[in-house]
Amino acid sequence: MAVLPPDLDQATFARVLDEFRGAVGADWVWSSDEDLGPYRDSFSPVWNTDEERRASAAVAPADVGQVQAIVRIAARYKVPLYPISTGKNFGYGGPSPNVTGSVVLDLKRLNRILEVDDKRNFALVEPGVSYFDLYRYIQERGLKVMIDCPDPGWGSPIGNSLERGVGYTMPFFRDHYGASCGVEVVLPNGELMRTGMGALPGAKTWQEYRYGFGPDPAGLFAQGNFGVVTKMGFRLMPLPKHYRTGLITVPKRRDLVRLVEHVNFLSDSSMCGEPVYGSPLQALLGNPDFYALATKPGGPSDAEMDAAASAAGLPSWQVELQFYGSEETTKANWELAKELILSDIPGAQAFDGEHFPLPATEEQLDNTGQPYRTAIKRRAALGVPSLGMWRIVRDDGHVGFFPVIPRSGEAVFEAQRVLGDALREFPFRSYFNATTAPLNWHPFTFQMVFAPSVKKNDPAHNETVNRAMRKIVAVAAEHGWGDYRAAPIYQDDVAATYSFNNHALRRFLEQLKDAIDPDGIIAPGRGGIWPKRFRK
Amino acid sequence: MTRTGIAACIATLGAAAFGTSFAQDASTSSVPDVADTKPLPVEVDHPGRELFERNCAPCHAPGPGDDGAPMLPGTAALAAKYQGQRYGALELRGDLDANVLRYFVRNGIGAMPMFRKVELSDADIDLIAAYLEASAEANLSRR
Repeated sequence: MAVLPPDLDQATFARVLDEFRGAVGADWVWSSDEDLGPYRDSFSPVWNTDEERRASAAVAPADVGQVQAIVRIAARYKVPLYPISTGKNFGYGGPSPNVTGSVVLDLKRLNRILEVDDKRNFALVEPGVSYFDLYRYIQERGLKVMIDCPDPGWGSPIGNSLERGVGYTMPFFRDHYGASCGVEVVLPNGELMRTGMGALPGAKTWQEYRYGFGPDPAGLFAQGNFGVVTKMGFRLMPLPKHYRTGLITVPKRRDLVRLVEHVNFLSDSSMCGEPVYGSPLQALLGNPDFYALATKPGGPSDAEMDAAASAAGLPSWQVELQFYGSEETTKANWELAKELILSDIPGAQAFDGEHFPLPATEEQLDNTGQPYRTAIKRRAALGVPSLGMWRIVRDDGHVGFFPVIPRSGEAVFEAQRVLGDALREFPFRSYFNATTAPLNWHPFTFQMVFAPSVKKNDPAHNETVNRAMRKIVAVAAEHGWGDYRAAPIYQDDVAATYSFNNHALRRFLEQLKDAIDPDGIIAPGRGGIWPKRFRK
Repeated sequence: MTRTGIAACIATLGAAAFGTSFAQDASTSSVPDVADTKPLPVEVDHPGRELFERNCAPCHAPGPGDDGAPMLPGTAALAAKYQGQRYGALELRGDLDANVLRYFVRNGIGAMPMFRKVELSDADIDLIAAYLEASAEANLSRR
């Protein structure tokens, strides 16, 4: 074993591992360097440095009873556990813990799909279930519900939602934590708790009314460390009858402001799915003169950008819209979108895209029939899990920074300028420039992306990435933009930016942690929440 | 698990990590139609097939990638690495024994992360290797 849990000697740790083996079986406890290799963060920018967080062992229980047994053993010896679901949180730490020496509690064997109801439209699953598994289960049974999945389908609905991950369909469903309904959790003392209607014995509505009665603590388990989630419910979208797409372009830079307002209206009225924004001017970034303009310190003027767009014969912005419903309702919503936008923004143009009944054919899923170049990920848009998007991964992976910014054109312009200037000292391609479009993954906010690659054999490069990440977290926070999710090595930095009233939120969470888990048995440091034992 | 990683790993680490076996690969993989990026679908009935399809195929299968991409990510990475000297799709490769697979599954490479024993046991990897051998043989015999 390469490392030990905090404050534990080797002989005592050997006893802990023996007790783990007694609880789950000898085949499901690992502590050799070789076996722990896959528990490292393969996308880590601090690979092979002192900053890398390494596990001391991993243990894989098969059921809730075994999870409780492991937690109780860990509590007796004050060994921190780091729960993972399918362990695919790449870009945000993968399966690696916050505290070196933690034992990874690998929940992959809790892989039962307990229920999918396509009349009341929900699922109840365990953490080891992947999006691939859930999709396959639904398809094999011909159930009339659609899942909402993130880019890589190997992740876990539970793990992804607890990280507040996102998908690509209708607003309610693509906020994966928001679409959850009911949690079962093993608390740090080993006790089992259910939230919402799950707390009422005999209730048949656990996945239909998330609140139950009184405070709802379910949110404490998302990006938190107050227990080990062993079951979770999710609302599912009924399989729509029809899917329709369309493209709208607007000519001038400032037109983005009105375009966003119209799309916000459509989206918040549940008339469209994920709006996919883009700038056709990105095609010009290979031109050195245009690149210099788009990345100009302080940002270019509207007039400069409009002149460049006019000279190139390109619109400044576009949005691809997606509609789910019947053939008639999707057509009506698309017609309304065109009417609202084309009547308000001079020079705006609309282009009909593909539309077809659902479920889609394989050819339709391949997404090669649009009459225009599309940025929509068709499988994700239709709830079909895939790993096709792994094609964007460069070098040895990447880390991700996704600031939450207001859903307005003005905020986009400000973020382009501020974040672009903040990264100017670093030798990366331009992530933020005057053509950078917002992401509308989370339904009621915009995000942008900084995701530099990492290189295991290039520590100087990784150190640059690390410095850039820490700088951009700080600069964004100065402007009111916070990161939504972070790898363990950045969680303290990000949590520190949510500092209203002298860090009242963090102090409150620390009080809870001290009351529930003072020894830090469950993921100390996760979400920037440290129990008394580990606070410096 | 990503097919991309496996492909890239084999390309960059193979010579050092598996010198003998890769030297053999080079001499035995006189691949016909190496420019063919659309290999025949594999119909082999083998106990390793489901394991491959669930764990490897989403990146390493033949056939198109998403949204107009000509290949899936792992297949594309291997095809780019080998430049026609070996197939990109693992089901057409007859040169990946269980030890080679195990190395890349457990260590990852490039964009492909490592896979834990709780996801894929050593016995699972053995079955996948046997399936790949059978599928490659079946495909070549059909050409």
